[in-house]
Amino acid sequence: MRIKRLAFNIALIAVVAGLGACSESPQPPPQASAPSTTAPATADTSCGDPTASLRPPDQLPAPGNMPEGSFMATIAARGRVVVGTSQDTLLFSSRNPFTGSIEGFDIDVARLIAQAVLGDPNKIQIVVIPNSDRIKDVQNGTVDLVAETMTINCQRRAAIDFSTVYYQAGQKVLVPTTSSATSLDDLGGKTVCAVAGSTSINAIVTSPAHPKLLTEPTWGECLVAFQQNRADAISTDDTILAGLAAQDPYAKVVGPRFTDEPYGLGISQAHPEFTRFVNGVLAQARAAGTLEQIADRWLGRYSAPAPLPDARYRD
Amino acid sequence: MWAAVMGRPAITQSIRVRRLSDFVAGVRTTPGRLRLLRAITVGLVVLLAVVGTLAAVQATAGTKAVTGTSEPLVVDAVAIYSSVADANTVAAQAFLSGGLEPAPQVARYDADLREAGRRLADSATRVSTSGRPADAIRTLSEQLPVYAGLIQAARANNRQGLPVGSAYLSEADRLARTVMLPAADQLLAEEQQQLAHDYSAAKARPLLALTAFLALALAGVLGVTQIFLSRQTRRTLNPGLVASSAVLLVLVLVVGVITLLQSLRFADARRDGTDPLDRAAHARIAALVQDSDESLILVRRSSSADFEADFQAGHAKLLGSGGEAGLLERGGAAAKAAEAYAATHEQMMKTLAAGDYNGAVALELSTEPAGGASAFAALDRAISAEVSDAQQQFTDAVAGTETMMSALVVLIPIGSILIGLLAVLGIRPRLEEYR
Repeated sequence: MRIKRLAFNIALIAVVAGLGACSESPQPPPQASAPSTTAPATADTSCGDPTASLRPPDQLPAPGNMPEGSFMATIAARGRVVVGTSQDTLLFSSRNPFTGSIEGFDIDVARLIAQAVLGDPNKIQIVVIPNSDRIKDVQNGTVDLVAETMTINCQRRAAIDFSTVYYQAGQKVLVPTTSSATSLDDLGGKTVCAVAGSTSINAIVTSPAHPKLLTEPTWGECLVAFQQNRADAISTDDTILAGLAAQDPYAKVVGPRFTDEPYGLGISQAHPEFTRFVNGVLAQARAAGTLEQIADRWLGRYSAPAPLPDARYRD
Repeated sequence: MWAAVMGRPAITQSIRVRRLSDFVAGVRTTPGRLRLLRAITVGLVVLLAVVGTLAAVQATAGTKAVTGTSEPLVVDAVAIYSSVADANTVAAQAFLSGGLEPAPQVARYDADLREAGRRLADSATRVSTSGRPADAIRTLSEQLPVYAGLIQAARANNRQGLPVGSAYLSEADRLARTVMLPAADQLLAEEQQQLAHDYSAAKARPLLALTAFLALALAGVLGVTQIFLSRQTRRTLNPGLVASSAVLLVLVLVVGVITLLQSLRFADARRDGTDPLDRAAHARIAALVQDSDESLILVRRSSSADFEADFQAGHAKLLGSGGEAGLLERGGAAAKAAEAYAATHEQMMKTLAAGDYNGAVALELSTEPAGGASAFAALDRAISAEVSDAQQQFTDAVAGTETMMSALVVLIPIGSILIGLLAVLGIRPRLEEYR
């Protein structure tokens, strides 16, 4: 009885402390804990739950009827949603060589937003931005939102806002088919490629096996480095790796996930009504099964369908 | 009798001493002075022959370098830069419209690479094996196959529908922009410097000035000798010396006329050939950079305003800005083409800003009269015409200069020897009268 009471008290204190920590000023960059090969690394919770976003309104305004003065009205007036993304992350946002247009999971999610604001999913303008410019371009308004396999974490939350999680990925490693490595720990002294400005770099530099890091501007160029024998492996989210391995029969993705990478749409903190609107669109898509369909369309061939994460709200 | 007592070495010594002291004492006498004048004349003639020939040789070598080596190298360097820059832009454009690259684009890319390879091989035979131009040529020769390999990999992946093809294209583009084009630029700058250097070597100013001075001194000595002789003897004119002076005069006139002609021709070549060639070369490069900027704005779909700013900077360079003259002749065909090209670019940027990416791509690649591709082709053609024009003017202006200068290499030593011979022959009979 007493022990149960003690445990309850401790839990209560922990919850209160956690909630209090949410309103604290930005924390220093999170140190990734040493990745073990058996369980995902614990996410940084210095700001509470970084994936908890703003609650959407009960009723979403219809396209063409956006509330005056809201950011959605600005978008409607402009006539298109400006989306920041990449163009060579296969499966998420990459250029289709046959048609020349950019398509993928991220693009389809952005199209949902365009459909909701403007009534036409094709009214998106794609601006290609490198990983390292994602936060800057959201903050200065160059793009309305970023849909670029962007992991939500406390460090980024300090600068911009995120929608609720629309896909849960995790970091893995891509190696040659002839390799027996199953994780970063087996790649001591080898060169591992990652993109500058991605969260994937953390795991590589803190790995106890001390692999060498090679950075390239995009994931496609990491694959080029891999094919030219400048890199022995690539490490990033399993979804991106699946897209890379799909293009090279001599590459394989190995091992279990060793980090948690929740994907969210990056939105500026200057207009929270837009964040709520986007979350509303995502909530509708989840409920209607649209989000699952999109995931299946792009990722069904490469990985067992992972359960889509639930939305979490902080207000 | 001294000699007989002192032995042989002493004899030669005493003979020498006697000759020298005799000579010195003899300067006060007429034959002594004559001998002195003869010695000075011969000395000056020898110096004139040597220095004059050296000057002629340097001028000839410089002229040969200008017409046969340096100017062709500048033209080659411009062509190398243009081919590589154009190939790079065309390769990027070929990917823009999706699907298989259009055959004309592929053909243009192939032609560009062939041209670059050919010009590199030609240039390699003309430069010396060490030095910065050779280094630049080596870098380009090494990287050209690497670049071609990357583009081929891009094409192969593209053909199979694999997006990694555009990553290979990015690598190739980076190689071209950060390694190959700077090397080509450096090659051009080095060759232009070399050409300027060869122009001044061809003039051989210092040596020619020395030759002129020696000729003047020789004329002076000949004059003094003739005046001296006509005073001391009853003969006013000495036929040998008169002939010698006449030959000297003729030689000076011929050399003067030839060097003047060469100077005028080179001034023409510079004004109508080399300088316009320089301007046209830089204009071609500026236009190519503009084309590349425009393609990159579309290929990268980037929000960065860098490429647009670069495009406008290129425009200012071509047509001049703020009162400064541009690289292109005002009102000329190339300037008009540059305006037209800037207008289509403007149109494309408006389309892009309105969110119509596919429309912007179509506009840039359009071969319609108002389209981007035709506008650039017209600009490129107009500037290339200026380049060939300047080249032709240069060739016309320097025609025959090499022959003229090599004539001097023969004339000067022969003339000098003749002058010396005639002078000595003229003095000898007068000297013999004193024996």
